[in-house]
Amino acid sequence: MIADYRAMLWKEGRELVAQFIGNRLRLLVQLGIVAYFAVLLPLIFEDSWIPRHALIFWVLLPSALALPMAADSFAGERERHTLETLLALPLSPRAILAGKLTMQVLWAWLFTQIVVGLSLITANLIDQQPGVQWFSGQTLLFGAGLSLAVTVFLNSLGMFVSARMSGVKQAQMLLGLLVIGLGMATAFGLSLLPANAALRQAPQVLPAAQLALAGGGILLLISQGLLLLTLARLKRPWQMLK
Amino acid sequence: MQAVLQTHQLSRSFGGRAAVEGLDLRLEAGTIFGLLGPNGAGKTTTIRLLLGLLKPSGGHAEVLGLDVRKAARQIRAQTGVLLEHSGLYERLSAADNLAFAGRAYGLERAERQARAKLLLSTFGLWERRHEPVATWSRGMRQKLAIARALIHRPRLVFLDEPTAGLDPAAAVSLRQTLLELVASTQTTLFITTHNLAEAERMCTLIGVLRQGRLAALGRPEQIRSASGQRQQVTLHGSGFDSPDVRAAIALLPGWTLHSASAQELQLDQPPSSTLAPLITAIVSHGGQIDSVQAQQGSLESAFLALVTPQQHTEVPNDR
Ligand SMILES: Nc1ncnc2c1ncn2[C@@H]1O[C@H](COP(=O)(O)OP(=O)(O)O)[C@@H](O)[C@H]1O
Ligand SMILES: [Mg+2]
Repeated sequence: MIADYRAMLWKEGRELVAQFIGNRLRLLVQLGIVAYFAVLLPLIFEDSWIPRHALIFWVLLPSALALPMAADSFAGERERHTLETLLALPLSPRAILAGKLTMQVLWAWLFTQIVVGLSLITANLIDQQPGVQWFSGQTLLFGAGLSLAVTVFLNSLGMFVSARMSGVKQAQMLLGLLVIGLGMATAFGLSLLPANAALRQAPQVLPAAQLALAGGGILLLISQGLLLLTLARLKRPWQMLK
Repeated sequence: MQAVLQTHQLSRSFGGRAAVEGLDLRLEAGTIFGLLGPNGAGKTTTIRLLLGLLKPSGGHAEVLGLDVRKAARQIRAQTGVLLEHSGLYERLSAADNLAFAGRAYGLERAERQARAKLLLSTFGLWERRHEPVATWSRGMRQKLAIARALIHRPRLVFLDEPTAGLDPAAAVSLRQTLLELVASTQTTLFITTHNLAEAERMCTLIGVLRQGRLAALGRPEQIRSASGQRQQVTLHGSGFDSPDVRAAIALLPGWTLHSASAQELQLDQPPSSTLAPLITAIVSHGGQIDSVQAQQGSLESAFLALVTPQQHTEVPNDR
């Protein structure tokens, strides 16, 4: 199992690197993302970047990175005719799933942490005040922790969809719709609650750290369910190969 | 001898239509088995069933003594496979493709590298191992995919139409290298093809699949004779018009003369016979032989006779 997992991690890592080496445009787009979040946005938002806006992007950037990869995970292998051969190897389904999840999450999350870190440097460089600006412990937990939970959730959802779609395009479209739909449904659902409901007041009452913990916990729980469903399918190659 | 592979009434249908029906097969170690059949005969489905990638709708199959329904992963660990598609990661280099397979089969680093080097060198791909597979020709990819199937020295290797889409020269070189690699190893090969000549050249046992059913099973020469088709032999030389030569040929059992002149003879060869008696008969009666040709066309018609559904050929099921 551990050897299987390492084999999968190795292969996913190689493919990730090969994507950028073989594709200049992709590399440029990626550098563009770095420049945008790490330099341009801190310049635009100035003083409010660190205390407020950075947080939003901290949590949202992983999804922009994670979704295309997750959509590709199985549908891409199916489209490029490597899925059946992969399933004909003696790898445990658990290792295949875990290997893909780990590499995708690691990449999306680490990339985000680096970009946010760079944006901190930019913000401090343009800042006129003395002393270094930095996130509070609570904000760090909120940003780093919640962004990790969001990445895991989106990848789990993405692989769940990807395991069921015949092509990458379909998987991407369905996934995009799902994410937008989920976001809107959550916002709408909250707005329907009476103004004095505990859940609606939570953001004002509870400390941000606790909120992050609760939100992250819920997302991880749903992720686990999605991963188990995908695993069940992965154990039946004839379903995966349809 | 213990069977490497054994099926009993193995069947699979899709929406009521049988793709494989009542397959009974038994292969012993070291067999080079060719599953021969036209497109849609059920060859790929058979391999999928044997690897547990598809569920049988009926019957039973054991590969290396393991039940395909219960122990698919153990079967996959001990077999090598090239499926319908080469299944290579195009963005990765050849070396990386092999390295991944080696890891997946649980090989240690040193062995992984030694096997990769041996296989890539044998196939003439070693110098180009760092190139992404996407830039390679179909023939090179097919060789790489076979190298991948052999990386862990499996006892049994499934190859689904390994020479499909290759030009004749590439196909010949691929077959040769493959046979070299498994010679003296007791490796069992399970090869599918729609090409009778290929099956005849490579295989020690041939099964002919027709609409999911095994229409014939036997050694290559038995398959040819089972079809009722005879090989045509053409001889060129001189002195063929001598009465002694003609009389000697007439005495050969089963041989029939089609056309004859002083310089050319055309004969129908009886099933499961060799050319030696014919040549001896001619030479010892004063004829001179410059060349002998066995007609390939008759192989094609033998195959057609076996796989065309309308025709009902009685075939021995040699087990
Ligand atoms: N997944 C599937 N769903 C429906 N029909 C299938 C499927 N796989 C194969 N078939 C059908 O089964 C028959 C045998 O197919 P196959 O095993 O691919 O033949 P071959 O490999 O000999 O060309 C064909 O008629 C094919 O259409
Ligand atoms: Mg096929």
